[in-house]
Amino acid sequence: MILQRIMWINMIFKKKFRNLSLMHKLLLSYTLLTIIPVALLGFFIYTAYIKAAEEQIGTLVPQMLEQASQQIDRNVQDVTNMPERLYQSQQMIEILRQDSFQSHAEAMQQQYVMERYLSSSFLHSSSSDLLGVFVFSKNRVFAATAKSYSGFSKSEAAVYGQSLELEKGSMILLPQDTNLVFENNADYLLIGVPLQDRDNQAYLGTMFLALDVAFVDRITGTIKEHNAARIMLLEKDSGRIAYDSKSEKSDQIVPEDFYPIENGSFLQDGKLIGITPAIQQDYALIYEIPTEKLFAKQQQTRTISIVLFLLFIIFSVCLYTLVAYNVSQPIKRLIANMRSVQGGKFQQTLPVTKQDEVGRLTESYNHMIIEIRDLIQKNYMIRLKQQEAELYALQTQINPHFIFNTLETINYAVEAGEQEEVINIITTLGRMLRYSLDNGVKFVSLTEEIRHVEDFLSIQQFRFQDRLTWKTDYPDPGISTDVQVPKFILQPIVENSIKYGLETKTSIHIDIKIHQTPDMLILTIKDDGPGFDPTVKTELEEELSLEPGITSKSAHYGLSNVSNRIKMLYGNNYGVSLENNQKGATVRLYLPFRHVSERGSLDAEFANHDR
Amino acid sequence: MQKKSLVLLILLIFVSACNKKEILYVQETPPSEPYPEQTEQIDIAIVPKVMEIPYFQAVQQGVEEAAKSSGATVHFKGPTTADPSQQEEIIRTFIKEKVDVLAVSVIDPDRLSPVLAEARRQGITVLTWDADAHPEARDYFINMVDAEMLGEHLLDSLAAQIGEEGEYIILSGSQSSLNQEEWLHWIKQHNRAYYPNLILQEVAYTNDNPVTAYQESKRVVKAYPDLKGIIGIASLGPPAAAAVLKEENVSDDIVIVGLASPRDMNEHLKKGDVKGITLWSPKKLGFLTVMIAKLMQDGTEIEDGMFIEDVGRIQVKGEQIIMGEPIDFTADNVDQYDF
Repeated sequence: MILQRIMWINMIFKKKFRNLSLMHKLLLSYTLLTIIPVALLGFFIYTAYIKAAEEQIGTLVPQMLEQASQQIDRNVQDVTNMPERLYQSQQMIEILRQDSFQSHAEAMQQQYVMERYLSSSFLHSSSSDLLGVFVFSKNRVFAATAKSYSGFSKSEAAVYGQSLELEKGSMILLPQDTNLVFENNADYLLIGVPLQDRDNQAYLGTMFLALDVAFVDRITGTIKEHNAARIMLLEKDSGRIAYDSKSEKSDQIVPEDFYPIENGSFLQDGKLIGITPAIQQDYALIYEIPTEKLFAKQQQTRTISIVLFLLFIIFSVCLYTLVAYNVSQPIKRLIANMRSVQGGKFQQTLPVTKQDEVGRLTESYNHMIIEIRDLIQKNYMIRLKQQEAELYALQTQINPHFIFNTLETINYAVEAGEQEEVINIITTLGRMLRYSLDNGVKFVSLTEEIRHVEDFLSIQQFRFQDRLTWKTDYPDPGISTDVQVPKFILQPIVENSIKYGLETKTSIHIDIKIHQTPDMLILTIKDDGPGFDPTVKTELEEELSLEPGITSKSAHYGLSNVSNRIKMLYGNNYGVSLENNQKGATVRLYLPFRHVSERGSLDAEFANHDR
Repeated sequence: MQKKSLVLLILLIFVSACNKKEILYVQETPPSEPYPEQTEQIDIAIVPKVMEIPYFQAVQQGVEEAAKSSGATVHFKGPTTADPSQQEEIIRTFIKEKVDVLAVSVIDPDRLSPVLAEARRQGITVLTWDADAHPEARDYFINMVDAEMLGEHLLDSLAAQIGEEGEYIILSGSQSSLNQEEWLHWIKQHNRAYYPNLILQEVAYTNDNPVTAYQESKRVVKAYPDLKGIIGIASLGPPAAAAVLKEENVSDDIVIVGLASPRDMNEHLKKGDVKGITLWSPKKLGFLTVMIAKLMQDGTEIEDGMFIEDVGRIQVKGEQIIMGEPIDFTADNVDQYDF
């Protein structure tokens, strides 16, 4: 399940990663390869360190506790052995052997002697922590205490004096077990030891020694570490706490299974707890210390390390961002440049600032761009020159057929003796030849162009007589002289009309009209011939819509040549349109409306285009 | 979404370490006080010199007390008279019964040592108490008191009462009793060293027989008219001697010191015929013998200064265990002892 999930995450991750930008990829790889391993390493080292420290302390604490426990054992054992002192005094044993049936004076005397002995040899003889000593024997109580007390009166003598007879051996009672209370509510362990008449092997009574639990405090003082730790002495069977370094009196009962082990250490609720059996395994010595106090220094170190690590991350990410930026930025620039090249701008090359891979790439790219630019220019020039040559050829071309026909017409006229007409034709022909010989001039005024067409038409009329009629119509003759048009744009079209018209019909009429809109000049050549054949017309229209410069050498060379020249000079907004009207064909030429004064600039524009 | 789950996963790893009982270290608990296995019943045989005298009766009481408190099975059987062959027979019976411990108050070490040695060879722990056998025949000898101290104490008591000069005799049990011979040795030694005017006239023997004790007492009293004192180092001596003195009406002239049961001497002490008598608690001796037997059987090392429940600290000198100090009985305290 988890594996699946991881794979799924992985897949998404891969997909996402692939689509990231180079800079993000670099940053991400850096994070993955540097920061995460370092962070994980740091984390694991810290964890392992703390674990090791815990284990070390965990081993130390029980050993420490065991020492303390042994000391406690020894203390308790010492106190348990204290009644031996009573046996050293024959007198005391004799007092205890006495029955309680005696005179009051004698009893009081014995009481005095016994209590004085207890006081001197038990309470004052050693630096023990005894709060008091009690001897219960045959309905008598002998008591010597260091602190005033209540309870443990004669009425209990019978109970405690006899209760131990059967058990033999010592026992330990807690304050809750008896009604003995010392002043200040001092906590104590009450150690009961049976007294035996050894010579007679008979029971004498019971001695209770109240041991101040403060001795545990003294013994464990060295391991308490500035009171951070809590030390408890717990009676195992009942779960009662005999001693607690943190709270004075506690009636709290600790459940039996609260501690998972008998001897050792463990972690629980953020505390390190050590436990070791004490006092004949009946008690447990417990040591509790919050781990945060135990590891205060380590935690401080950890905090500092984390802060330093964060600073390192911030610093290194900044640095790396800079590096990544330096790598990706030139590439981005390259991309932007390539885009602009796609848009046809070959002008810009990129500055090469570095000698690394990116620098070399930029350099090669620059080379490439320059190469491409040069190639384009070269090709372009060649093509232009070609076209120019073709145009020139066209310009200078006066159809030999036409000349032949014209000469034949002149011949007929001479034969017919129409001298005036001959002179007329020759003059017109001469003007036409001069017009086409006028080399180097590409633009002429509209008037000149129209007169040339009129010359052409009048020569044709000489030949075809009534079969050809024509009419030119221009609204404002003043404009015609001002307006500039390319040379030879009307003649090819008129030539076509005559050619196709007279092939099928006996006569033809050609109408030439000049229109003028605010920014456009429209020349309309209308005939009443057969019109365009539909298939030819579509072919032609297709050809006309092509980019200028790509010229096919088709049969309709004249028409497409005109269209090309217009487009090349003025752009695709201008050109030639074809139409079939009800009588014949209409061809329209669309030209910009330009004045003579702009002629220079037009030339300049063309020249510019040339280069 | 996957980011969240990733964070969750990491958190889980972090959190998983907290809030549970993680045991760091378990220390091997030292075996709680060597508690003897009570599965096997221990048979302890205690053999006194003789059954029906107060001293050994008191011992028997102590033995029974100890049997109760230790839980061991204790057999107490001795000869009817202090006869070594009878004692040997009893010992052989116990060997056949395969008891675990044999504790004997040896009448005659020369005669009984071989049989004790045989018992040892059969894996029986052999102790002697009250009266020793030859050392190689037993594991430990449980001595009541230090021999040197007792010998000196007895002679000191006598000297104090008769004024450090005069004749005295010693009533011992038997010549074969090693510890009585040792006490005798120390008395003589002490006499030579400190009391040049005290003269030991004779060492008489009671043979642990009340009748012999009486006869011997009578004989010496008659034999030494200037006799000032009698030291009885066998428990039957002083009572017999006191009775003889009473009969002869010389109680005020001749001082009796020595070892005897307070019960036997009660009357004499109270009447003032005898000022003081010395003994240890035979009950305690019986009790201690059983306890030592039990401890040894449990494999406990017997050490000097060891504390024995209801007995006190014992001294160990080589293979000798010394129970403690002797008790002096006077008219004042004699009622406190019931043996």
